[in-house]
Amino acid sequence: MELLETEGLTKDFGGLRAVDHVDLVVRRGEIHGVIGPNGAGKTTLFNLITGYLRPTYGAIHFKERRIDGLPTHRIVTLGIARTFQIVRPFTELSVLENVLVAWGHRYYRKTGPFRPYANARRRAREILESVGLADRADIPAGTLPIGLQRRLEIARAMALEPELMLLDEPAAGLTEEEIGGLKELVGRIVATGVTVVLVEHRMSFVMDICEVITVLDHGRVIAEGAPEEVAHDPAVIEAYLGTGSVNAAG
Amino acid sequence: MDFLQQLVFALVLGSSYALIAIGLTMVYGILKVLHVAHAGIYTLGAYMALLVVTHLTRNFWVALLLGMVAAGLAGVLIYRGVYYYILRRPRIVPLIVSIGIFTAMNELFRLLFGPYQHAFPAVLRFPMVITPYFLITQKQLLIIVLTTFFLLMLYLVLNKTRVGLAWQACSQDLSMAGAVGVPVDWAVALNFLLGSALAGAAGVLMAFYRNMVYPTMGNVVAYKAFVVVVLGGFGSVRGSVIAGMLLALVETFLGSLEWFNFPRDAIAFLLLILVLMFRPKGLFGRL
Repeated sequence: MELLETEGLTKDFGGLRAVDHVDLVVRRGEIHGVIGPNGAGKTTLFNLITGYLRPTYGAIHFKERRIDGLPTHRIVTLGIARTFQIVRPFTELSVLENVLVAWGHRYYRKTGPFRPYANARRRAREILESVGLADRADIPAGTLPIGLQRRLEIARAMALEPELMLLDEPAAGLTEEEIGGLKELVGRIVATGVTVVLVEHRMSFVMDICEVITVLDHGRVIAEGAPEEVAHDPAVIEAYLGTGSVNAAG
Repeated sequence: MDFLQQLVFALVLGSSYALIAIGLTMVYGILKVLHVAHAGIYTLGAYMALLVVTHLTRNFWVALLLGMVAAGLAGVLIYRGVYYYILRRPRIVPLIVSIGIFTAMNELFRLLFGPYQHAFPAVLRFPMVITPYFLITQKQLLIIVLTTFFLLMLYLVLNKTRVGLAWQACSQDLSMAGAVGVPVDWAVALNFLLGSALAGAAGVLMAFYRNMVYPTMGNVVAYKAFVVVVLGGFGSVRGSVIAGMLLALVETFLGSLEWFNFPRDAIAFLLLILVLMFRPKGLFGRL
């Protein structure tokens, strides 16, 4: 079994089927992109995998273990970290404390909640250094500009030391230059043995860094494969540009 | 000097306000629930201590400890048994449920212990302070010293420990806290445990100080604690400690004026109305 597998994963919101029988397979070590037009069900898929939502049908296996229905923090401890499309730092905590909250996840229940966390600071600083936030460690996270808040989200996810990292539109709202930095950062994270799944709107970014791409439309997988294959798939072009555009594009 | 003596009274009163308001503030800060039943926990702590004193031992410390333990566990029980299931409902639901629990607790105390006042005959060896200017009795000194100790411990827990950091994270963004691995239920349960234990301590201390325990002893406390939490700025622990002390100072000094013929317990609400009119986020709030 691969690192992450979903089987017939389905989520209904009232009459709307947001995710429709999705079989997603993520292999260890790959950068896997999930793309699709607005409302295709990408974020819902992430919410299902991370336990924010319970699937209506289907199963999710991570490291050969069934994880659907587990609470979010349990899934985190098993090794899945995520970032959010809309960045949500703990605005009144410092940048360093934001990372420390995440770093503490493996201790909260074990070594005694009332133990001081002072010795974790060094490790948290190293993480901040690797994402280029070391010099801002002590300012409130809410005062960071948006590009750096995204880096903080990734730093927080890194502090969880996951095997699988889910990035929800990490490039949204970033300048071209910042995107360059982000690519390089994702590359470094993967180099440490982390598998990455990212949801993205910007095709160019996904085409550049992903090895495998899954395309969703109306909650369904309409294509999957290497970036070049997917980019030339008529169904994908149609989903993105609308019916009738296949001929025009072809 | 009279001023110093009044200050002693104010400190004792303010200590009880602060100890109760802390739990309310922490619960409000994280769950955004107005936990009215918290005042029932205060009474429960006092009754537990009363049981210890009348049936087990007269030792004050044992009574205090068991009162705090019972209060803490009752707090966790209220969270896990009730609030946990209704947190996602509109906020009015947990509020009304909370009022219901509070009333039920009051009635339960009345059924179990009768509607009378019980004396609280604990014994304690503790110093007192006598100066030419003011007097701090044994019990007053005990309250001031213990409250200082609790506040210090709370400061350390909130600012230096993992759970303190987790609470801060939870109070800012509960679902995000879960996403970065904080076991939210556990953090909230611990929060109830600690906040309720402090309310229980306040109940025991006040029972000992006034030498009485009765079913409705939490009523005025319930209302005042809310005033303190609002004044302190909804969910700011430091704010509610300062607000508690401030309220006690105002009450004590206004109440000691000879021409002031106003019910003392109403001052809090006058203050509340004034603050809400001119500074709706509370004295120390950021909202």
